[in-house]
Amino acid sequence: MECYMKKLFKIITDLSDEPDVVISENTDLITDLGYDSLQFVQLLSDIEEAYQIEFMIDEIEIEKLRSMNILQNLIHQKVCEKANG
Amino acid sequence: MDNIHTRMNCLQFCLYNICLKYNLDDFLIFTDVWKFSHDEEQLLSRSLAIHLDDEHSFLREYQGLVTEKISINNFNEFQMLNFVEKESVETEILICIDSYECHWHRGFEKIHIPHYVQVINIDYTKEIIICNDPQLNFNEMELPFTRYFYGCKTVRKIRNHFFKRKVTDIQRILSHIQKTTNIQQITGDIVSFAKRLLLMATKEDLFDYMDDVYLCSNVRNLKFIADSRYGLSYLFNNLGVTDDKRLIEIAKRFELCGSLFEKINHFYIKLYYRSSDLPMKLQSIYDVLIKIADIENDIFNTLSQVAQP
Repeated sequence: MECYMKKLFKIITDLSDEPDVVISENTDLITDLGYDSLQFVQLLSDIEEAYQIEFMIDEIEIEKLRSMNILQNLIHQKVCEKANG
Repeated sequence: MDNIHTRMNCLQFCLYNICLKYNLDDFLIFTDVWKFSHDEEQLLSRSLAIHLDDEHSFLREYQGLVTEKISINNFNEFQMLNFVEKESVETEILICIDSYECHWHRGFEKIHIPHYVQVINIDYTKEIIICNDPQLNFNEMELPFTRYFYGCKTVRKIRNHFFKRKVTDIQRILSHIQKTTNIQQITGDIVSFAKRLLLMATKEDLFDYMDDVYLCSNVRNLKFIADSRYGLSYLFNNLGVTDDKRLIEIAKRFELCGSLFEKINHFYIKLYYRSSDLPMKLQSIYDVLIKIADIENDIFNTLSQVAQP
């Protein structure tokens, strides 16, 4: 799980404009890291690529996914779903 | 919904700024924004259109804010500068500048997008027009005269006649929206755009400017379309403060349409980065567009019942 989260933190850090980002479960990607909607969509694409998952159209709700906690849970859920076929 | 000013195009944002300054009812900015235009003659990647030339007749009628739109195509440089000089403190000047000439715009020297900014002052020594771009957190920007001469074709003079009055005749506004909205055209164009999307085979069919997805025509216009639905929601929420619950219901449904168009736009942008399984992804956009067409049709039917002849 730690390795799994490290991967996510790295993707987020690489996309952020902030030089010294500190990410935790409570991070808000918009207010804390200055993400705009375009960066956000790019983040989702990078996550899809990294974890080989897909976000459906109904799931792309930035207002909900801006919280690291919720984003993490959704990725985890999708990775598990994929693993279970 | 976020603050409404995050859901405005450049012209609306300038008007909002003026409404704030004079304490006017900003929701009247959105009386003429219910639109969706799909041009089948154009490539799909640039087939959506938006209109920046709304009349804002209710801002004039109820708030005393009178807009004069002037084409300055044939003016010489002296006349062009003279024209943006503020006549009085009650007059606000908006200039429509081509993004290609606007150094702080993402489309600077890349692409031609009409962009409204508000004139604050003219500095003849430095040969710059000092502008306020509300979309940049009201930061003051410096537009060189030469860029203004090349890039500006239209100026709006907005005069405040200071006869603000409370919006009491809501029926007139509802009736105006009902009469000026061509719901068959709107829903027809949503469906035709949706159907055409299904025929697209590659990412290049969807985006007309591959260097920067943000500058792609459909991406910008889908954002404007989503924002216009949020704007309509804001309008109906404000009109609905009286007593009619149906207006609040219309506001809720416009907000839903705004969020659905926003999801479509974000999903569409995602195709720029990952376009695998394109037919399946386009099908999901199609499904949401058809859903929106149904909701907007229902909204119009409700509006027709509320707006008495």
